[in-house]
Amino acid sequence: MRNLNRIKEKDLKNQLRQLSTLYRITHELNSSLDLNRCLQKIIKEVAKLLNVTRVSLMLLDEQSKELTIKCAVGIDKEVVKNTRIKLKDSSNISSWVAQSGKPLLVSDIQRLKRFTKWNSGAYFNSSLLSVPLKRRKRILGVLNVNNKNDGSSFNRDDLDFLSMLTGEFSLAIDNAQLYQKLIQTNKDLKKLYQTKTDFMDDISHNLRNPLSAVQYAVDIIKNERAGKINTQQRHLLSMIDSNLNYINRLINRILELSRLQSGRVELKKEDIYIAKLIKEVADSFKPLIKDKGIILRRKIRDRNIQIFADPDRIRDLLINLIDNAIRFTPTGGRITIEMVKLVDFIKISVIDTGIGISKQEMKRLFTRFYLGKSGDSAKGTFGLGLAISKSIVEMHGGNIYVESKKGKGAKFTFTLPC
Amino acid sequence: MKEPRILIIEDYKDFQKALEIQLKNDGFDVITADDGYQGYEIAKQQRPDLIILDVVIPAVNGFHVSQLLKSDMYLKNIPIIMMSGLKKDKTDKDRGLNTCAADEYLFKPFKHEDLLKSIKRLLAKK
Repeated sequence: MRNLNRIKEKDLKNQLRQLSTLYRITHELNSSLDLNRCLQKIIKEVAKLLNVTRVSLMLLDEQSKELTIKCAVGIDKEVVKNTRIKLKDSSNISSWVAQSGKPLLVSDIQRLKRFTKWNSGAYFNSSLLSVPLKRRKRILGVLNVNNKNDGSSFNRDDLDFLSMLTGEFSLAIDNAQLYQKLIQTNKDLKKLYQTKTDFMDDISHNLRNPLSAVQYAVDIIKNERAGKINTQQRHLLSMIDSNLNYINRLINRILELSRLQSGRVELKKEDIYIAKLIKEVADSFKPLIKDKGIILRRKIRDRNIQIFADPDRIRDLLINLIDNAIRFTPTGGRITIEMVKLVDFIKISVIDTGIGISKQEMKRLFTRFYLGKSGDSAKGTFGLGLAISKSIVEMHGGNIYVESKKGKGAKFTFTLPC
Repeated sequence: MKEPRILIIEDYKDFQKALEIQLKNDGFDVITADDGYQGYEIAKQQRPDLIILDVVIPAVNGFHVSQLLKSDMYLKNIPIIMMSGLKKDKTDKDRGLNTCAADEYLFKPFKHEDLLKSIKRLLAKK
């Protein structure tokens, strides 16, 4: 009876020790950022706790379908580095466990003939416990412990403990792998974006030389320096001319947008009277709106508001929005520029009575190369204006958004701190 | 009076040719070079009245050619008009005009009238 009590007491003590270790390990796994170091530390503890000569944590490489040793105790560094076990290799215990997804407890390995391969050279095994690492039905790897130092074999309690442990390992490893994947994807995307931007830059720059040559050649002919030309030829030349202008403006806008979006642009901020700037820009549109038969009004109460901003960029922004409004507003329509001050920012809206924007179009409006389907012919619009506008506003710490209903005009609003 | 001699240093042949035709029509004596090294050598030998210099050219780039010319006591008075198809960037322009002492900086593509205006202004100053 006394003996039995002593055994029970020993078991309980042992279980308590295991539980407290498990608790500590779980805590460490969840709070550590460096998974590799953390795993190595834990493996050492497992070796101590289970009193074994060898522990190895093997992970499955999903691409090569091979198990490699992530970290280990009691195994030579070179072996850790070079061990690669094919998942298909059924003569190996680890790959068998990984493939079957079931744990394996072997008290005397000599009796298991099919796993002879494992028992070679320096790494002789007597007893062994091997548990798979699983997460959402996916096999991540295997945790192996070998040879108890006291010569005894593994038991059910050891298996239970190890199973709990591998549950925690799996979660931590899965999270770490997902995190790594996310970081890699993020890196790839950034690289791709940079490649695309560089490519656009290169093309745009390289177009300037041929463009200059064509422009000059056209000028020579147009100025009749290469002989007399007739009316039809003159007409065709001015067609070439206006298209060259279009390409040139397109190149400039692509380069401008890529510079804005890459953060290579520094704002040259100063105190500006925003009402005055709006009037200047609105006045510059007078001939165009008169031609098109549109009314352009300004509704600004406080003319003395000053903001700290880059005047050239804000001018570009206003030009973009007004130009856009004019393009989408038919003859007889009305465009209103409104400004209000709210606590520490100003809100400027450009409101038109044009054709409006559908919900689907609104989503893509501020992205590169989006051309409104229902505007004037694509000529003169590049689908870059709103993307440029957005970059300018955001660089100033403001916001830009649009409200509209199909057929009922549009209202573009941006905010700037003041 | 002899017509003013202009040296064009530009590697993009079609543009060089078009520029040459225009300037000859405008009554200038035009000579050309295809790269920075050749341009510098021709400038030394022929002493043109003005140089039109592209920034992105082989062998020695335009910035460097300008510095070489402007640090040579026999050549430093030749006005230089730099031109570039590179980014429409104020820092490049600053570098051309200040660090490299060019007299004018034009972004490609430019209007021939603008180039002509610059040429006339710089030749008159000389």
